[in-house]
Amino acid sequence: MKLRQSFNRVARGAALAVAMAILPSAPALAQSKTVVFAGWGGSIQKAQREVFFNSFEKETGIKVIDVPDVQLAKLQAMVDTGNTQWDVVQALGMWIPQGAKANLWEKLDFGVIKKEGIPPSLVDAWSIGNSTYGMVLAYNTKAVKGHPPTSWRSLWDTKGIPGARGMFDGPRYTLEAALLADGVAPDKLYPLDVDRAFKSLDKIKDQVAVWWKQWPQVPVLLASQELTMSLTSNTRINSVRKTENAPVDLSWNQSLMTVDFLAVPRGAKNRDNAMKLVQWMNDPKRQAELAKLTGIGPGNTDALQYLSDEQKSELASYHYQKGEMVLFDNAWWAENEQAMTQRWNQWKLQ
Amino acid sequence: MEAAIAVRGAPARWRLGGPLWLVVPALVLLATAFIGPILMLLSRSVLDPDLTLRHYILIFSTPAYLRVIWISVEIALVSTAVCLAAGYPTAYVLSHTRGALRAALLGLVLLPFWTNILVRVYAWIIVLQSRGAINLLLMDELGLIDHPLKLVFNYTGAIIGMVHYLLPPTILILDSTMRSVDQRLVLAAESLGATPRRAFFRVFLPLTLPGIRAAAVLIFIMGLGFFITPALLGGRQELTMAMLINHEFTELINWGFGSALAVVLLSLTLAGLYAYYRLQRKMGTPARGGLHG
Repeated sequence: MKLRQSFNRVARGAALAVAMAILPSAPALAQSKTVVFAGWGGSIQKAQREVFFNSFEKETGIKVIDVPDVQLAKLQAMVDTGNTQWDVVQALGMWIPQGAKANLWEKLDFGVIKKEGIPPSLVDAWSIGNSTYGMVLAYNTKAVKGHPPTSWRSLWDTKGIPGARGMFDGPRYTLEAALLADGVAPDKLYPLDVDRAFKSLDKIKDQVAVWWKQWPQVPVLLASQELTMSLTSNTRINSVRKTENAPVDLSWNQSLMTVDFLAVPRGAKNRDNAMKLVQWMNDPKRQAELAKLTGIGPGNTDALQYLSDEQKSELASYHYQKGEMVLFDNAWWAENEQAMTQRWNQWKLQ
Repeated sequence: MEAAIAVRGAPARWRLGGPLWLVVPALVLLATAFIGPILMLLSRSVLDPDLTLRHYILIFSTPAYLRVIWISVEIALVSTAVCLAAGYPTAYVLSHTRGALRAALLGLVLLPFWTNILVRVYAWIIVLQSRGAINLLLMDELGLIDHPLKLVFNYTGAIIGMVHYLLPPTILILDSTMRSVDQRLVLAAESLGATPRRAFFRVFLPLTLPGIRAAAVLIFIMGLGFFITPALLGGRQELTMAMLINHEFTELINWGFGSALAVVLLSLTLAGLYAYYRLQRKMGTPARGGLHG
């Protein structure tokens, strides 16, 4: 009996110690002089720190704690357990409808956040478009021997432009490319004709040398001529072209524009500061600065006026404005990704 | 041999109580921080949100998922076989050297262990790709082949990457078994007229069988859980259970189905362990060697 009592006491003490270690101290909550930003990490977040967070801290006195490896799964776990540790989330476009369905977002405060300059398709009650990327057709300029590819059809045309092809190992972007290559008009792309897309993919299934899974793989494989052309993102191609002088280039025609949004998770502990930070990152001049550093397009198209023609030509937002790109449909994918992934796995193992 | 006897004698003393309490903190930590959460997570596979078997029905009624299970097992089996074939001679040499040479050899075996797995994978791509070191050597320097060999982004690449990862533990397990073999037995066989070859196959090899079995099971189980290596070095067909589970949890937020896949993988692992203990008992040797000693 005595033993059990002392055991209980120890157990209670241990539980208290754990609780104290996990829970934030009360004074820090009351002051709320911080805001937690969750992003991708790496060089992008370093640039965001330089352009957005340092100036925000100086101007408002609110400290930005920026953490890497943002993930919808992590966010879901936080909100489910009532312990939301992030205040502003850099969200992959699809996460907005997915998260809305699971009730993961707070409504944005459009008294604080201004919509001017944001294309209407890039803003809703929960989120505002912040950065843009192009899923483009990239190639090794030497390997294509004077026949630079001009559209997804070139990727399918293995006789006209011989050489190893690379494709993303997943249905996202790939199904779109397959349909555009098969002649579907860009404005009639969504909802995707899935059967036609897989039929189109059948035609190059065995010609694809690398079904890549990680974005950093592609610039390396293109630069070393392991691949002649591949679907990939514009920012990485531009950076190896400029920093390593690699013989790679890309075609914007029929490329897909994907957008990262800013959103505030439900139960965010510093909600008011979060709205202020979102508006700070929404500023066109600052977005132009980020574009110069990273090649990431601005969600706020007013940012383009602060950039030179050469700088603009590397940004997805600019090519989207020119009508060369198709906007990736987050809602369609949020609805269909599970089914598509299942079908993709079956297709690729056949 | 003395060491083995001492270990075998130990449990008798443990049963008297006392020292067994020493493992209680570790057990409590494991139960609360590991086993509990895992059971909670795995229960999602049948509770999503109500009691259901639909995730399991989906797995076992979809040819693609059955294929993924088989691919995972096959890749793990082949990697294990290659590891044993390559690791046994290496461990033999390692266990028969002493002093500085042994330390140096051991260092070489362990070196890959200290390198980040992604770094290793990308290094393999550079070595194995069609304009990689191996193909350039064979084509341009030696002129042995006209067209580059396809060494990566396919089955071959996945196996090479996995063997590279799994070889150090294989060698360490075999080495510890071989060092516990009494060399005087081999000498005795030779002094009684056996050729070195016969002494090896009739005396040394049988004495190391427990280690081979331990290595086979442990390496197979480790190999079952791979995802980065087959994902980056394999091709379209090298889709493993672990890759699927990772995708279901982090990308699709489909935790119920992901948990069901995890339960299947865990069951395969436990089946492997069960087979190991059955085998050890049947062979009449107590379970020891790399896994335990």
